[in-house]
Amino acid sequence: MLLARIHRALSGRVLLKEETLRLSLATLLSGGHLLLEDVPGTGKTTFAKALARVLGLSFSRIQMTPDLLPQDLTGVYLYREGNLVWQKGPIFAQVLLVDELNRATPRTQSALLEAMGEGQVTLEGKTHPLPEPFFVLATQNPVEEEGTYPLPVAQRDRFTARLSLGYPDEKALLLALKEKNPLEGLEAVTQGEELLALRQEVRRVKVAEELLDYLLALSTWLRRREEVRLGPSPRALLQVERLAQALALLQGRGFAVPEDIKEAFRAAIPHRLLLKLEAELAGASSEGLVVEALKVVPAPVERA
Amino acid sequence: MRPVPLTPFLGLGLLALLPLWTPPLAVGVFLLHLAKRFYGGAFLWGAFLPGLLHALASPFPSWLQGWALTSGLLLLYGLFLATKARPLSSLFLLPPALWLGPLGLFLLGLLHGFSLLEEAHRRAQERGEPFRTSASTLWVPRILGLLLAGLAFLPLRLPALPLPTPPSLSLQASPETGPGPKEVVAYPTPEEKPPPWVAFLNRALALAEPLALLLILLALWPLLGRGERLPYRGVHLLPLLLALLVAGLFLLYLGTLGGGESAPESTPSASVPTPSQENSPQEALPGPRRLREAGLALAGLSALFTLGLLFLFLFLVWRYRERGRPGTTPKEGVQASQALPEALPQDRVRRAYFQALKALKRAGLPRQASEGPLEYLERVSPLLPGLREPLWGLTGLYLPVRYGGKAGEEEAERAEAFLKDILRLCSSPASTEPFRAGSS
Repeated sequence: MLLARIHRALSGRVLLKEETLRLSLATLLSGGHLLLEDVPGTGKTTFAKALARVLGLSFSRIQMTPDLLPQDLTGVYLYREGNLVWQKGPIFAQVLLVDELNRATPRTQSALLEAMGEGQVTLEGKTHPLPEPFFVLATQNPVEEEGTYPLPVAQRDRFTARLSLGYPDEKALLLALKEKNPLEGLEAVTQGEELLALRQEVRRVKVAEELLDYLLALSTWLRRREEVRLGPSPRALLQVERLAQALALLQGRGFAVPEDIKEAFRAAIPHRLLLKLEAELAGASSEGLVVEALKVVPAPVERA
Repeated sequence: MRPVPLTPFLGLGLLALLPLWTPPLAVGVFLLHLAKRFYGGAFLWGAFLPGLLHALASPFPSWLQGWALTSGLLLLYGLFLATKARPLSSLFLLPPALWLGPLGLFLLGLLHGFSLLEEAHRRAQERGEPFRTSASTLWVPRILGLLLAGLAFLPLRLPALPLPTPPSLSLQASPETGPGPKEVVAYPTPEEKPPPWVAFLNRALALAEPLALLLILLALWPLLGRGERLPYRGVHLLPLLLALLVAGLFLLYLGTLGGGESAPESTPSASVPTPSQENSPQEALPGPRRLREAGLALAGLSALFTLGLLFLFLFLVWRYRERGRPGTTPKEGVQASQALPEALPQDRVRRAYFQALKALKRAGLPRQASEGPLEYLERVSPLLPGLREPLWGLTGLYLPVRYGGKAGEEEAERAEAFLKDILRLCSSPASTEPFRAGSS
């Protein structure tokens, strides 16, 4: 199993929880992109690099700044020896780590988000497809907000899931301190072709109608809450379904179960919710509401 | 030590009803015992059949009353047979007993009296003490029965109330002498307006009959076999057909009930009440009129309409069951699968999982409504020693059935084997006592 292989390869090298790894892989297999929200120094870059390496994918990293232009991402045409030569930008990689996405201007952000959505970039009237699989890991620092351009909800909606790595426990930290270079000697355990085949497999994972009803019930519950200004979009629900399918496949199942829907919902919905200001001031949070929804809405299981 | 069976006491109790014995009633008691033994799932429907023997002795529709009475008594008796082990569920005995009036209440008291005796005998046996009683103890149920029956004779009837009739004109000769000595002048007689509560009470009494019908239908609701613990398990075709027959006869019976004021010979011109009619409390009591030919036809039509609705309802329930809703399955999943060999393997797996959930709930480990099967497994399996393996196995069989593909015979048998293990674990009082205490 792919998940077990990757877990074995990364075990003891990267400060990573099993749940984070599972959700990251599921996001990749569902054809989505990941938003990592965490304070600096929790291993986001190392995780992205390690993931790209064990998956056998090409990797590049962009540090977003306010003066970064879209061409810095996508590439530019250079005049060389009488010809216009296209110089590819860092976006042409299979795993792209976008550090501090909210530091870039909305113009650059939207260029990236368009590439994420379409899987291609257009320069000087020419369309260039991005390599497959194309997986973006964007990070945001939730603490420092000065000089940033927070992503609007419509753009956050493009990210399938949002995760937080969190601080590792002491045991894992000790291990990390002993290990000088965690990426050294890290071997690929799969290739892009296998991942693309798995992406096709994800679409064939069965999601029972009752589970779709359950997903709708969760979404309706959230939309009806008075704290919520903007509830989950239809695209969000589609992505939750696809993410649940990928989670099921990673567990070796050809069908999704309520726990897959719940895990996918927990990862994919909070960053898409927009709460009312007064609710936020009163201490409500989108994560809290999602957790409450999962506790309140009955799961489709036999009732004794 | 085995408790003494109820039959001898019951036999004595039935002897007390000797004056009421009729051939249909005797056949019915015999049939009920027979049906309970060989068709325990829905034996109560047998209570409605022997009453049809009355049709041999009297013409239609007069035999319907005999049918209703016999069926009511047999239903009460059958209900008692089915629920005597569960004190609270004997509340179901009340609607038919009340409907039967003094006779029903007498039978109810009698049966409960004997039930008390049997309970005392069982407890004495459990304590290892001899159950000493004298012959006079047998008077306890009889007295109880008589007491209950006496309640039905209490003068609870309200004093005669005038019917809410529209003000009518009556002709009366003018006391004054007019232009001609033979001229008659019509004028309304001064009428005493009844107080407003009388009209309200009349309306309430008029509503009493449909309300009673509704209550009876509600009491019949368990006949659909919704509750696992109830004595009815109407999951077969025969009970459905019998339900239709019973409903039809019952509605016809209601249509022929007497008790109103209009006699066949009464004519519209009788609007001027005679003094004897005015003073008769019978006339003032509201109630269904005795139906004549047109009325009977109307009752038949409404009975047909209601039957149609009932049939549709039963059909929907039947279809719902066919989808394998496990909430309506009989008590033991393993037994159920043996009793219903036509059940699909996936239904058997789901039923087994449902039974396991139910057993664990009884053991103080209920599944939360929002919990998925895997979350539940992770939460409860460490709590009960030995539970992890069978619950893990059963959940592993349940998940693909419920959310994925199908199960074969082998999976169904394995699920039932896991269920047996779980039931055994849950039935061990020592292992589940802490959860029961915690949940209470």
